[in-house]
Formats: sequence, structure tokens, C-alpha cells
Amino acid sequence: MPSRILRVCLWGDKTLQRGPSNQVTELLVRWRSGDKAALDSLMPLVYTELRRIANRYLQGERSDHTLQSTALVHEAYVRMTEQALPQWQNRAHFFAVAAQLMRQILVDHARSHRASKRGGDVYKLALEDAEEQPKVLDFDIVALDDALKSLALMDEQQSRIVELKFFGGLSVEDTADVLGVSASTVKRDWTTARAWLYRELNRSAAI
Amino acid sequence: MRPERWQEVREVLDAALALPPAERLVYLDKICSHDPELRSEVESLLESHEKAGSVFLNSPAVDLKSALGEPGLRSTWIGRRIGVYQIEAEIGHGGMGEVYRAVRADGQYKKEVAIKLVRGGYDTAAVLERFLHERQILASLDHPNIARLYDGGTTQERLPFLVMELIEGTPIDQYCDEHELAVNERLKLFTQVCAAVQFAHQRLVIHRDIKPSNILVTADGIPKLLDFGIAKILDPAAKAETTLLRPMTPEYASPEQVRGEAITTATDVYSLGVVLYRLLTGYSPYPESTRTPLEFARAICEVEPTKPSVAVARSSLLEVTPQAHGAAREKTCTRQQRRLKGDLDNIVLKALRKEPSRRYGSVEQLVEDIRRHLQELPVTATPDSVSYRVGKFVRRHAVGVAAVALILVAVAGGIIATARQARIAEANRRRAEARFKDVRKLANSLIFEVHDSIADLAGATAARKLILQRALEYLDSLSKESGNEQDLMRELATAYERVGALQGDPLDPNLGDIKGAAISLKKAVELRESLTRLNPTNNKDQVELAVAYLDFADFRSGILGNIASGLDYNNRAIAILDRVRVADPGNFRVLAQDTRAYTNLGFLHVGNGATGSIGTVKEGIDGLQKALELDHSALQVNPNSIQLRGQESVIILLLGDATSKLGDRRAALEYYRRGAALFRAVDPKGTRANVALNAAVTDGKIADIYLADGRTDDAVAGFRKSREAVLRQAAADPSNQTVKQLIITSTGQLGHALVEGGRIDEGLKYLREAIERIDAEPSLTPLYKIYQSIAHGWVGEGLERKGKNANALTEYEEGKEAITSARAAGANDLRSQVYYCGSTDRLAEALLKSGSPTEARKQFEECRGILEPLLQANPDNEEVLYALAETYTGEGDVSVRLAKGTQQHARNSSDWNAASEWYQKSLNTWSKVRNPAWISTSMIEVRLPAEVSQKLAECRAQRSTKVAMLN
Repeated sequence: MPSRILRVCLWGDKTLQRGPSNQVTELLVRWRSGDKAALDSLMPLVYTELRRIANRYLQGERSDHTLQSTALVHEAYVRMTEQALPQWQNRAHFFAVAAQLMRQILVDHARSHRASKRGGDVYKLALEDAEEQPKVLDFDIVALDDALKSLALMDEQQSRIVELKFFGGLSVEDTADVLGVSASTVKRDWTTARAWLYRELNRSAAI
Repeated sequence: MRPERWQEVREVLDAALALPPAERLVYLDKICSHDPELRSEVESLLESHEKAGSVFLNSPAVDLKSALGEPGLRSTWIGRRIGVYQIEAEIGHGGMGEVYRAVRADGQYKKEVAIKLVRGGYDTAAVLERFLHERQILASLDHPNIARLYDGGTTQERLPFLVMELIEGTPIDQYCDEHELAVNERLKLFTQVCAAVQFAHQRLVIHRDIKPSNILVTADGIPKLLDFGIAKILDPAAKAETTLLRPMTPEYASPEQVRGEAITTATDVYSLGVVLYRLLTGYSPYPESTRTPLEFARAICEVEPTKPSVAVARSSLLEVTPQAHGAAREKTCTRQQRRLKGDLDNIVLKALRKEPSRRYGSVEQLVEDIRRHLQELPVTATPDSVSYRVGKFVRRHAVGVAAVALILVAVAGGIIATARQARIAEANRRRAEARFKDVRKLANSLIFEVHDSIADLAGATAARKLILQRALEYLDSLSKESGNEQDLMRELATAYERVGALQGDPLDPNLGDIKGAAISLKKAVELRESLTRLNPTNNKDQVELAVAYLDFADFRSGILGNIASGLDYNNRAIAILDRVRVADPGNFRVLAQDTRAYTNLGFLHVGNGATGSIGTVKEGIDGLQKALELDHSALQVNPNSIQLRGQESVIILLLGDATSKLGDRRAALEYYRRGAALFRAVDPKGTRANVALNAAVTDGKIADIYLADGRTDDAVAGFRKSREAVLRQAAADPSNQTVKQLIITSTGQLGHALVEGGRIDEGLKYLREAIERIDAEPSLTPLYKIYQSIAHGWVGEGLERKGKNANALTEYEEGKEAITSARAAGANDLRSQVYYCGSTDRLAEALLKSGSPTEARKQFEECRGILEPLLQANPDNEEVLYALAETYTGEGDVSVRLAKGTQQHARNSSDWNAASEWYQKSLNTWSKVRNPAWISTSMIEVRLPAEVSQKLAECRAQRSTKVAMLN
């Protein structure tokens, strides 16, 4: 049952009806016009692309599992702006998405290492910035991710604030800008969320 | 914790944290007096808060802002050295980075240059690689109006940089305003810029980023274009000849750039159009309100630019100085408007058209129109037609239009009736003609615009059918009224071609209406034939007739399986196209269609998949070589044609099929791999459905070779990959008939390979799935019946391996029944006959095993009756040779069985002689096959010559024993 070669070319080559980047554009437009759910649909699309980029960096990582976060962010940024520059309404929106993506990438990275160790030690992620020495987190990033998910069930906004500040490095003011709340709200939520997360992480580590 | 409870907790916690630590516990005592749980919760969180201190989470995992270099991360480069250059001052910055003035500081000579430092975030290695790739070409851009690119490299920080000729000048728009240049002077300056772009295009360099800030006018009034080819070097997608919007002002970007589509010289034509627009009006072609990049992107793709003559009125009114009042202002404004109205409006808008193909074909043509305008000669640019603009509207508002379309159909019916009556009265003649035109336009719009706009909507099939049917009725009735009006005949022919393709083109998602397609395509051919009779010297009509023949040939051979008829129409097309091609060698459409015709000639001789062939492989190869040659000529005319690049890989795959049939599987594998690489090059992202499908087919073909070479595991992996790729396409386009066929073939092949590899149950599962998918088809074309036959044969094989011989026999019978009905439905080409014999051989072998040698013999005789004359007509056809050799081997087996004696048949020693003769015939046949495989390209599984020799030797031994006993 041999398959036939399609005589593609001279007569009608329909491109796929909806490529991912079209969808990104459409979702961004919807998001911009106030459809909050659009962001949730958007994430997996952009994520797939970034995941691919991240894998490249992660494959070349050093033996101490230091992730070159600066290089990763650079490339992620270029890709994201390439995909949909006109649709990023402003920096705030860009950072909101980027922070969420960084969280997913870092957590996945840590998770895969944990998996590869077949339930061995808790994997601690090291991050490297351009000039600094690698810094090692003193907690398990996968546990943080789980805790953030629990926190989101109780208080979505607090969870988002931690995401933006920790996984995006945004200042209080930028975070306030992204979420459209006041700086003092961000500060209060951050303090509360940090206390709760600290307790959660130490609880889970103790078990 | 429930959210409400958490809110309570955090409120108390917030309040407590606001207090000095010493007062907190007292506060908790008070506030939580009735809720001890709340208290312990908050207390524990307060404790965590203290322990978390200032460290926990406060050092971010990723610092997006500093990673992106904002703000102020840009260290100062002034005074530093990059390579042999000393940076002196910043002279500009943009989305890609900064530009500095620098001097050569190695003491050799003092030369000023501009250095473009690319901002972090680019993939340095890739930028450098592209730079090295482009450098040679860019170095050849030696033109007085183009700034040179000298050098490039990376800084110590691994940032890419480019060294360019330093141009000191003013951006062209600013220059024109500062010098208050008149319209004619602006046009002359602009044509100099165009000349530079044209010069680069002739050297196959596209600028991709033409904008006023890249066109500097020196103090001597000479325009210089900067950054030629730079956009490509910095563009990660550049290799694919497409681009994605870079972080740059989108104002000058073309629609295709915004959409990430192919970049051609037409892209530069568009950007030049925007520059010209700005020079003439002082404004962007898009509305004032367009401010954000998003709005720009949308406007570029969707909004028709305001006419320059209208825009200039707006700008004069807006920019008027307080001193210029009333009459004076009006006067300037109307004079400007008059100057731009007509020619210049048309020229600018033609350059700015959304579709690259509707712009000026080259920068040269744009310049020529401007020159003609300056000399007060008529220009070629004309405004868009009304029907075109209606079409645009329809496309933009597809969803609403889908609903309205059916109403339109009804309304049009009414207009036609009135039109007819009106024509009776001579007094109303003019009005009738106007209506006649309306209906014609409407019918065309229904077919080409309304239909297309709803084609992608789910569930629109019924509406599509109705729209096409009604539109054709209208056109038909109009053509009856108008007699031999040629333009109408052409329109009608195009409409029939279009509708025919939608009804039954095997290569398009279609409505699966094969009878309808046959009628439509036939009508198109007839109309085209009449047109060429009316205008025997009109080459265009000739070419269109050839194209209609090609469409019809595809349909006859591809869908109906009638190869001879397909070949006949294909040859008629070739005769026309070859003649026109000689007369007009640079005509792209003729070259492309002739490439298509010779490719078809090739596969009609060689066969394509289960589609038959007339079986003359060598002639097929000649056709394919010719097709390849023509494809290359066409690519010289239009190097950016993705279609022709795709065609090249199709031809190469077909050459692979042909060599495989000649027994050279190694060469075939090479062709397939080359084809696969070409597909990847044409469409690296896999976004073109047909290219992706062909890539999947290629994987399957490579797996076929592995299977023939006995590499079963590799074959299984290849078929699996192919099947998965096809299924992905199916998810994107579930109604596509071609995809459906490919799912069936790839599923069947996977099943078969698994059976061969001993994973019988898994294999049978896939084979049964393939059969179910075939049975689910609403109308079983001969092609599907062939698939059915093969699949039943393979299922039988699997069952036989499991020892279920009786069940296997039933499958073989079903297989033969399916191929019999395929032949009855018109599939009678060589390959269908070979399939028939393959299926019959299998059945015969099973009958022999089940102890019915006489039944088996009948089947083998039938095969010989077909194959022996077929071989005489096609003496070296490998497919026939395989089938016939296997038939002879089978005949030998029957004789052996008879010699050994059965219940019905007494032992007969002369049968040993007969068996020897059959085996000898088999070996003779095999001797003509190069490099025999255990499975033929027509999927006939055979006993190889070595095994036949063995059988022959055994026969001879038996014979001599008998002879000895008699003595």
C-alpha cells in the first residue's frame, strides 16, 4: 500500500489554517481587550517555544546544574518579541507573561532532574548571572512551585505577586503596575505570602 | 484553607505585623479571644515571618529587567576600542542596538566608519554566521547611493558588531522638508533611491528595512541607503526567506513582514511606497489614531491607505501655521491635492498594495511610472476595481458574510429573472446591461470570494455546495444569453475549473463530489477549447487550455485511476506548453506549468503510490529529468518561488521511485534523502501542509526500502514516524481527502511491517484500523479499493503466520474481490493488473496449502494469461517481472504437489518434469531483475531466485530417482 507523493506545488499549497503564532496574536488581542482567560490559553503556546530554547541551554549546562538564566532570558525575550511584538501592549504585560514562563521553565528543569535521580536528593537549582558567582537556592524550587499552587487556591493575587517578584525580579512598583493594584497592596501581600510560603516549605521539607 | 478563612487570617496577620513586635501577642489575645485556631494560625505565621528574615525569596531567581538591559545597563562605549576601531561618539540607536562613529586606530590610516553594535539578546553565533554568509554579496554592492558594509565581528562581551561606511547626512523626509523641495524635486530624489534598490535587487539582495532614517541625504544632496542586507543578518528566520517582525518601528514594514511570510523584492517596493507617501504628504499611509505597534500591525494588514491627495489635505489643515489663514490655506491645499490626484495617488497606492503580487513587479517598474508621470505620459498604475474592493470587504468579514451569502444567492436569482425580462424591451436595454453586469460580478464574487471566505468555517460544507452550484447556474444562464462573448467564456471556464477543483481535486481539501467534478472540469476544457478556436494566435488562451488539460489529466488519472486517458490529456498539454515556451522562454507561468506537465508525465510512466502507471520506467525517468531541468529554468526566473522549490523535491522523490523500480535501492534511498532535505529547506517550520505531508510520505518511502532490505525494525520506526506526522496534519485539517488517504496507507504500512517483524497482533490491529477507515469512506474510488485489497492481503498474511489458514484464505478472497471491483470501475493500467495478479497469487498459494492444487492452478493460469502478454508489451518492467516470476514459482509448486500425489490426483512422474520447467521459467524471469528483493515495489511478496534454485534442484533429484527406479 504505497503512499502517493503529493504533487504539491504548482497547484494549491494550503498552509495550515492556524499556525501557533497566529493564535498567539489573537490571544494577545483578546487579552488586551480584557479577556483574562486568554492569558491562560496563551501560556502553553509561548511556553512550547521557550521550552525548546531552554532545553538547548539546559543541555549545555555545567555539571553543577547551573542554569545560565541571563542567556536564557535574552533569548526568550528575543523570541517572544519576535513572535508578537506588536501585540505586547507594554512592558508590564510582557513581564507578566515572562515571569510565568520563567517559573515553568525553572520548575520543569528542577523536576526533570529530580525525576532523573529517581526520588533521590532534593534537587537544588543553581542560577548564574552574568557577573555574579552562581547562587544556590536554599530551598527546593519544585516545592515552592507546589506551595504557590496551593496559595493560588486561597489567594490568586498573592501567588501572582510572588511569581512576578521572584521569577521575574520585578520591583514592588513594577509588580503593582502589572497587576493594576497599589504598591502598598503589593507590599502587604508579599509579606503575608512570604510568611506562609516559608512555613509551607519548611513543613514539606520536614516530612 | 478556604479562601474566606485565609482572608480572615491574613487580615489579622497584617494588623499584627503593623504593630511593634512586643505588642503583637497582646493584640492577638484580644482579637482572637473566640477563635483559638485563628490565633495559633497567625502566631505560627508570625514565627515564620521572623524566621524568613530578609533572605527568603528576596533574591530573585531571574532578573528579567537587568537581563534585558533595562534600564541603564548600557555601559558607555565611547572611548573604547572594538577591533581596530576606536569609538568616538554615539550617532544613533534603535531597536537592534546603537550606532557609533569610530576611527581606525591601528595607525595605518585614519578612516572614519560607523559601527553598529548589536544589542544583547541576539544569538551571536548565528548573527556572525549570517554575516559571513552575506558578506561576499554585500561587498559587491558597490553603488554611489549605497553605504558600504566593511567588516563585522564580536566584541569581548560577545556582542556582534558591524562596520559600515560612515555617512553624514539628514534623513530623506527631513531633508525634503528643510529644503522645501517641490513635488518634482522630491520625486527625482526618490528615483535615485529606487535606482540603488534596483541595483541591489539585480544582485539578489533585498533591503528588508527601508525607511527614511535609513536613507540619508548628504550635504551635496546625494541620497545614500544604509543597512543594506543588515536586516537579514540580524534576522533569525532569514534563512527561510521569511522574517518576523523585529523590534523596530513597524510603520514601514510590509504586510508580509508583519505576518511573517515570504520576503521578496516586492517587500522593498512596499517600503519604498511608504517612504514616497511620506515624502509627498508628510504623513503615514495609515490613520492618525494608529499609535501602538499592535494597531500598526493591524492597519498594515487590513486598512487601505488613504489616498495621498486626501491625506495631503488633512496634513495641510492640521499643520497650517497660525499666519496662514483662510483663502491662502485653502489655495495651497487644493493645489497640492490637484498635484497628487490621479497619477501619483495611483502610483503610491499600487506600491502599497497588501498582496505582493499586485504591487509593481519590480522597483524598475515603479521608477518607470514616476518617470512617465514626470514626462506627463500616461502611467500604468490604475485604481483598484470596485469588485476587488468588495472582495476585500467580504474577506475581512468572513463570518458575517457566510450568513449573508445564502440570502445573496436568493437575491441574485431575482435579479437574473428581471434582467432577462428587461432585455426584451429595447428601451430598457441599457438598464438590463447594467444588471447583467451586476449578476456576473455577483456570481464571480460568490465563487471566488464568498466561497473562499467561508471555506475554512467548520460545518460550512452544505453552504459551500449551494453557493457554488447557484453561482454556476447564474453564469451558465448568462453565457447562454450572451452567446460567444469571450471574456465571459473565460470567466466561466475559470469558474468551472475552480469549482471542479473544489469538488474533486485530489490535492485539495474538497467536497468529495466526484461526478460533479468530472462535469465541471470537462466543461472548463470545452470552453477553453472553444476560446482557442476563436483566437488561434492568442498564447494566453493556449496556455490556459493547457492548464485545463493538466487539471483534467490529474483528475482522470489521480481520482478515476484512468492512466491512459490522463496521459492523453497530459500529452496535449505538453504539446501546447512546449510550443509556447519556445516562443516565450522567460514566461514563468509557462515554465512552471510545463514543469508540472513533465513531472506528471514522469509519474504516469513510473507510477505514484498505488496510482497506476503505464509501466515504462525509463521513459518516466526521461520525463522527470526534463521536469527537473524546467524547474531549474523557472527558478532562475523566480528564485523565491517556494512552489517550484517544493516541486524540485517532488521530482526527486519520483526519481527515487523510478530507480527503486529498476532495482537500485541504494540510489533510491539517496534520492529520498535528498528529497527529504529539500522539503526541510523549503519549509523548515513545517507550516505548509502539503510539504509536511510529502515529508511524511518520504519517511514512508525510506521505510519501504528498509523493509525490502530486511531492516524490519527501522522500517517499523519509519512508518510509525510517517503515520504520526500525517495524523498531526489530520488534526489540523480533518476534511482533507489526501490526508485521509495518507492515514490509510501509513497505517496499513505500519501494520504490515509489524507483521513482518513478528509483532503480529499489533500489526493486525493497525491493518484492521486501515480497513475500517477505508470502509468508512462514503464512496470507494478504485484507489480505495486497491488499498482495501492490499490490506486484506496483509491481514491474511498475519493470520497465516498465526496458523489460522482458513481465516487467511477468506481474507485473500476478499482482497481479490476488492481488486476485481477496482478493475471493473476502470482501474486497468499496468499497475492495477499487477496488483490483481499479486492478489490472485496469494490466493492461489493459500489454496495450494489448503490442499486444492487444481483450484490453485486455475488462479495461476489466470495470472499468466494477464502477465505474459503484459511482459511482451513491457519487456523490462520490473513490477511485471516480479509478479510473473512468482506466478511461475507457484505453478512449479502446484506441479510438485501433483507429482507427490493427492486424493483426487494420482501420482504422475511427468509432473516432476513440469515442475522443473516452471521453476526454470521462474529463474529465467528473475534473471532480468536487477537486485531482487523479497517484496516488489507493488508489494508482491516473492520467493527469491535462491529459493527457486533450491526447489529446482530438489525436482531434478526426484526426477533422477524416478528414472533410476524405472531402470
